[in-house]
Amino acid sequence: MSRELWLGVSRGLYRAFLLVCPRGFRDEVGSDIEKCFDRLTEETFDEKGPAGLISLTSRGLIDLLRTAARERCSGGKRFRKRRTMDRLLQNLRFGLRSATVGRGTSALVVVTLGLGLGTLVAVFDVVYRVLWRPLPFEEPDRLVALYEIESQGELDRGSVAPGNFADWRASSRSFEFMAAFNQTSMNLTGEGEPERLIVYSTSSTFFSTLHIEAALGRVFAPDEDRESAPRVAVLTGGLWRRRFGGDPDVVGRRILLDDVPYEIIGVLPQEFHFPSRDAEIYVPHAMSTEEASTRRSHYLDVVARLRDGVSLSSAREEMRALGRLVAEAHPETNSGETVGVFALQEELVASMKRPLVLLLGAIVGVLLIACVNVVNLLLARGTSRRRELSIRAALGASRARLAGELLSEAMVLAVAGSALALLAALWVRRWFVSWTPPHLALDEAGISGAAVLFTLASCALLGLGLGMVPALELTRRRLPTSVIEGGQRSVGLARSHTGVRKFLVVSEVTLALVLVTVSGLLLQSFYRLSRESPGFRPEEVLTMRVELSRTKYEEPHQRVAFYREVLDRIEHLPDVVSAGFVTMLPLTFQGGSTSFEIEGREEPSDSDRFAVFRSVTPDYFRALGVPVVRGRVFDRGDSSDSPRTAVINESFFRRFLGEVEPVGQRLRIWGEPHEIIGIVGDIRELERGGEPVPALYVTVYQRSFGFFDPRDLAVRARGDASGLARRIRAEIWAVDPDQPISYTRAMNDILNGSVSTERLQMVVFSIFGAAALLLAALGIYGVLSYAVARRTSEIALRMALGARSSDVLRLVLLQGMRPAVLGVGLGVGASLVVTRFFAGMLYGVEPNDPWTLAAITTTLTAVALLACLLPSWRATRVDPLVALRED
Amino acid sequence: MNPSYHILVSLGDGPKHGYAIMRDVATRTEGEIEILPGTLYSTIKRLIAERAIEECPAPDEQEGGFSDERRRYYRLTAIGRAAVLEETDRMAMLIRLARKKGFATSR
Repeated sequence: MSRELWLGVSRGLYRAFLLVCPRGFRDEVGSDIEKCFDRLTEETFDEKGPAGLISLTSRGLIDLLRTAARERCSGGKRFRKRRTMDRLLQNLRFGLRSATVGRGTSALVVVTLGLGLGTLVAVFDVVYRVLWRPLPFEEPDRLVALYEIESQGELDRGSVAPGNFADWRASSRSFEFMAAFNQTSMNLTGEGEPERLIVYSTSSTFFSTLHIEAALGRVFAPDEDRESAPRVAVLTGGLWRRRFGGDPDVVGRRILLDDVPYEIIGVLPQEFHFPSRDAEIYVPHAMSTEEASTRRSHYLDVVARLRDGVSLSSAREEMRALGRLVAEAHPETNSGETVGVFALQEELVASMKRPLVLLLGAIVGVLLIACVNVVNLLLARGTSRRRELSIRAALGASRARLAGELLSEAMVLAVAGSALALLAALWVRRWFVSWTPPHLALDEAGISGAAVLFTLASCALLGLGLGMVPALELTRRRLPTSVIEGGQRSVGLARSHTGVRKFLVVSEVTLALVLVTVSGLLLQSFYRLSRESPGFRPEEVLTMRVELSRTKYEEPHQRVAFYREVLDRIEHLPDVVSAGFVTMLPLTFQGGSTSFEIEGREEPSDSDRFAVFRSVTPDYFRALGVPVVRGRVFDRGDSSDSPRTAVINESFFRRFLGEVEPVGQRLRIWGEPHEIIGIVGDIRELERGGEPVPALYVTVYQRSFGFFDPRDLAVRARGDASGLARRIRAEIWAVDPDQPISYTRAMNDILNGSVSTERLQMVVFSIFGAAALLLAALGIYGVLSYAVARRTSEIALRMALGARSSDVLRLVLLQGMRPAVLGVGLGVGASLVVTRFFAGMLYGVEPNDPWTLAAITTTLTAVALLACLLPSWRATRVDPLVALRED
Repeated sequence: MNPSYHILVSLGDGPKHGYAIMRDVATRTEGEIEILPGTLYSTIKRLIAERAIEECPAPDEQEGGFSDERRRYYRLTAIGRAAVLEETDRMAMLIRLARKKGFATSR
């Protein structure tokens, strides 16, 4: 939330509360008070930030209420003013009294509001922290992300080539600093257990761009990303604590990263997490002259800080022009390329925006249903006091007076509900955070100041909104007196409420149907996704990452020797069925593809020549439980001395070879011919949903494929595999005691993790859907009970005049079901619109799936019918004599 | 807290506008006493009615602040000055008497 928004909300609230002061006082000094407060808010925000502003606003509002009370009780028109003040206090006392008289109803209202608003506040808090809170850097609105963009193509945010980055940095004038970085991983050895670390390799300007200072030691100096510079490293606060025990003398120590010595020059603040929370160490990105000028490889991320006074749009224009110049100078690599400049904050939260906003929308829907129920409860309670209101109206009480009392009652309930909401929010948020992906960085405790402010504003709105309907409805038209016009249950009056009641039922059913439809679709989507076979058998498979150091295992034969020896040792362990290495396990890596040619075929078009590419050891397919569909998979005979072989999956066969017998076909991969020896089933390599993609497998025992050389190990066990982890690690360390091992997980966990976002969405929306359904049922029941209570004498009269129970039942049922059916109709229409926004979150089910809609429409109609039945049955039990005698 | 007393003391060293009075009180009392806008102007209104202070033209030097809008300045009247002196003496006497009885303040 920006400074202006904070100040705006605070001043808006203050001005609203200023209206409590008498008009004369406001005319005289109101504008002085406003100006004074405005200036105070600015200074407070700049000095103490949002927390200080919230505290000031709260104190300011209390001060205004006191001032209003003082002003109203003093001055020339003391007597009249005092009466007004007395009335305010009287209303408040009335509100408190009413709230405690009907304790059951009040408790129900407070709990309903507390839970509804609490959930809303909790999610608002999460949404605020993720989407709206400024990044934790100095002047975060000046930070931007830069990308390469193909003006004609589909690439809208491409990684940057070092040569282009060098040109941008040298020629642009819009930026104070510009920095490139990329993620890599390195083995930390020499101290304690070897470990694989997530390392960010960055320009020396990286920390200056973000305006971040080291908490201990220093960050990179300007020349430290030169190739000849000594090797230095900066630790994150997390790694410093975890690995070095928070040693204050860590600066100056030497560590080995991939067997190369680095000097630790600094430790970052504990709360610094950029570009991701799993970053552990930063080293300068030292480029050779050759690398610095390359424009063919694109792998850098670029951030920059706008110069003071330079706007995003002017920076965009400058970079577009610069992009064109670079493209003219290097047409062979940059033709049709330009530069994209985007606000960093937007970029970091882009993927989370839609689900979170939709979630917020869903909760607002549930809260609205809850509010409708509360309005109905208050109306019902008001009805039971109607006679009292009528008599007081007849004795001269003004409508404003009566409405004021009812409004106060709603206000008291809203305040109590909001207090409960804050408590509920803490609990809901904790639960919600435990379900959210870790990269959302929601591990801070407590509710943000913004959420507290939001609760205050919601409380005021709810109090007014909830009180308004009963206040207007129950004091509408000149109230009849029981003495003169035969009490509260005349047919005419019953009709006077019909509009409001119908509206309540229609809106509840509409909202509930939309929410239940959304949760139904997400439920189906998740079910289909999790039921779909991943193409292998994950049960009883244990996995770990064993990434070899490029320095230590420089030669391919050294790596092959390591794989062979480790696998031999593991396969000799009791309870191990088979084991194999692979580039990266399915569902853990979103990329890694290669181009290839089919010998004897014409060159395929650009878009058709890529397949997911993995390098494996022979037993990998058996370890993972991948079926062999045709031919064979690799064996020990496929070595560096034998002809090169390849295995394809079914999708590859269908897409590229069609009707041709695949086994024996030859593919050219990385310039060498490979013979296809077999077809395996489709493995979901990249993601659970969507169509399987063509994949191509080679064996590392025949040749090295650089980046694609294996780093993940899969071991199939007899029975539970988890007990094997320790023994497997011991076997690996017997081969190389310095070898880091990380990410030890069961394959099932990887599989479950791959649908964790979908699971979260499904669970959350199912809860809201169920809540909406329950609340709607309670609401319809409540509205109808209220209607029946109001029409008791009318029903009694009808029955006294000869109406049968079945007639009464039909009358009341129709009265309840008409608006419910109308709500269902409107809900179906609204669902067709709303579910379109969820299209991106669905798998294997259409947003307007007729079966889902039909099932939910039927369910909701049945629920409405059930909710109508009890009050209808109760109406038939009315004793005409008793009912008529009451009036 | 007696806001009238603090406002009068604040105006002891010359005319001020409302916001300056508020800041002066906060600074002088090291943040112990805070007068917020509602109380400030309601008290100023009363002090004007009791003729303890009065509105006056703005001094020549302009500090930064509310853009170009006119600000109202206030100054102490003779009545106000006398009231401050009297109230200060009264409080000093109260403290003296209390101390005689062995009530030493903790601060």
